[in-house]
Amino acid sequence: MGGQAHFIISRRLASLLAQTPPDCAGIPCRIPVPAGLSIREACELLQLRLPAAILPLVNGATQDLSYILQPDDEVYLLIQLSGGCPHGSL
Amino acid sequence: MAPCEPTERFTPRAEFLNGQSAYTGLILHVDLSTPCFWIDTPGDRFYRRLIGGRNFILHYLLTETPPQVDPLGAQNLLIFANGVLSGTVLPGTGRHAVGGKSPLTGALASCEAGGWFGSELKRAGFDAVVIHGRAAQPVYLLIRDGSVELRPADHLWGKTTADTQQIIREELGDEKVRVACIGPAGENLVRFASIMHDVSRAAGRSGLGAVMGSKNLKAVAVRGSTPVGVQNKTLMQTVQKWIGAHYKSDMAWAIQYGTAGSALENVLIGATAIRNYTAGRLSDAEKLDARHLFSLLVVDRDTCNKCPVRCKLVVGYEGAQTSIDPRYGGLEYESIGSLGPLCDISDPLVIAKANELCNAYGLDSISTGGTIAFVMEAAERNALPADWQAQAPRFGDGESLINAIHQIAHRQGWGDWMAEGSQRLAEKLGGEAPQWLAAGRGQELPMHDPRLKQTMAMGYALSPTGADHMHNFNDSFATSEDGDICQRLKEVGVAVPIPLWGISEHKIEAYFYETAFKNFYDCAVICHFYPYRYQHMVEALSAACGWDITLEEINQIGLRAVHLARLYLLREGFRARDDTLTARAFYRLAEGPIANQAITPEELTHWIGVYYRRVGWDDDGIPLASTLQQVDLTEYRRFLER
Repeated sequence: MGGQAHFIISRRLASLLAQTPPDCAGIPCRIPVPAGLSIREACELLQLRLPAAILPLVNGATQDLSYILQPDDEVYLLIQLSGGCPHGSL
Repeated sequence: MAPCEPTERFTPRAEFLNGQSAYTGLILHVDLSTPCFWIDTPGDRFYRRLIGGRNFILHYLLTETPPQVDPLGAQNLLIFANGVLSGTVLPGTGRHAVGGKSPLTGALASCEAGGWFGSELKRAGFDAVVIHGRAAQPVYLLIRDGSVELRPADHLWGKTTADTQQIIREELGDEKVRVACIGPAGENLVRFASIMHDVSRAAGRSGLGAVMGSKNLKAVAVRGSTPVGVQNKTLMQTVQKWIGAHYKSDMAWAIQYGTAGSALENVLIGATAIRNYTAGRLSDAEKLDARHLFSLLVVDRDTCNKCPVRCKLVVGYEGAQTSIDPRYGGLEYESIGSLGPLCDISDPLVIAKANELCNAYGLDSISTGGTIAFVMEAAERNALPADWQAQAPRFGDGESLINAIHQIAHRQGWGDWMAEGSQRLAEKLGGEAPQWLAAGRGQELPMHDPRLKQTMAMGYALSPTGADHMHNFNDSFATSEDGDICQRLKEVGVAVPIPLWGISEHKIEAYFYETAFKNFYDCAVICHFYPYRYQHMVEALSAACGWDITLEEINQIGLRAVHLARLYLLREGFRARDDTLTARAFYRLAEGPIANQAITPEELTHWIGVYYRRVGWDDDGIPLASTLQQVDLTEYRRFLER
């Protein structure tokens, strides 16, 4: 699994997603994502349409969505209050 | 109660009575000192220029109070103000504003509350109620379909908010009468006492409950029967259809768990301050997980007038050690943060009990938690007077938190000191105590940590009400291009998404527009959780009132609130040097999700200067004459000249 980072999809986030990502067998689950992408780009690659404003917690530190993923990063996508997803993309 | 002067019979404007307009055209003034009342009919230009809520509050504070009034004196006003959209069919408009001069900060107090009170007031015939003077004895004000009556309230004095509402409903024989009232905290002039509506909806911040208590006004009860119509139903339906098609997805987070649902996530990302801003992690944080909170405490859901989201929780509990009374509603994120992690507490039962007491006594949960957390740190540092030190609240000690709330509400013992708020308390303690303060303009910081949300930190410093998270810019909500903030920013040509960290020219531009929009919301008065865009507000205002509104006019209405509030601050003696934050906002943590993050005081001052220029104020933060002219506020400039 070298060269990859991982998104952790929590039960809470999964409950707000219309479609569970294909690599996600159970909840919570770890989805491998390519290092070198930003978190925002990785979400687009996975077609992960997020239902509310989220902030990523990367290896225990809060980061912007523009953060460039490094190998072995563990990224929790945490839902905040408000934010919305005005395209009705659930 | 009689009119102050002989007057013709007053009725709402014909368009309102015919269901063709969303505002009544009547502003009720009540003088508690005389007592008597009068009706103001300020005309269409007043409504179109100010539209209600915060702008109404600022207009009356500027024009009908002299400078430097004692916030707890008879000359201060207490204003309940709808917006022109309040009570209409549009979801999210079941709100109203409450304002006056703050006894906590000496600045503006301007809150918005949900529930049913505002809509009922409009159905009773009034867009706003302006309360003057002070009653000789405790009274409550009863407004029923245009009739105005003062009733004795000696039998209500000392009662909790739920008991007060229940007694008023029983004596009126009307379970649907809507009640705004204070609890013992407001009666005892606690400087951060709240006004509770429908028991569980707070006009929480800045001490308006103490203003109400200082007037010997225990409650305002309203009942009305005139439906609130709109001028153009077809146009309003276009906005209703849009929100009807979107709210289930856009507000899924609120539908699922309400604001309490993200308590754990906010702790994990560093949005919630822990242990009076000194710790990066919370022990047993998982107890704040939404599913745990719900299984343990939530017994029902509640909502506001015409709102399908039902984000309000009702919590209840019966146990051997404690019980939670469901009449007091439920936990909101801000209350969980301030009464929990800020005091290094993660036990949901303790937090829910503390929240119940705040609602029962009528206390702002943010300032209550902020003040107690400050005392907890002072106790930890052995900095309290010796006879307080032994019995002071302690970090992580739920029982001492609960005891402190009882003491504050009744000003018992050292509760008398805590009832003054953390800033006055720090001044009394002296020494290093100001270094442990987390406040802006004398008001305790909300639960959006300024070290994570750094543009919001600037907003805390600039806020005319003292630190506030509502008429502010939330950095972390604007990082997602799909989010409602970014959608609005795109409408006005600001590039999105917005970076999370730091402040920049780009973020100042976003702050300028979004805070104007949030101030527009607080004038209209609309729930901030609804993801409406400028175009929807253009259509809604046009539909409600028959006006030919433009997007730029929406922005200008919000900017009027920004400038009027600044004029009010300046008139009350605030200056640019007061646009700052206390030490804890700059204190860098050694560990946790936001370790080593914070702007510096110098950066804060720099970016405030950039904002001054962007909004059209001079280097001293004084609105330029040309700025006021641009937003049609020239006549208010006279308040600078006194």
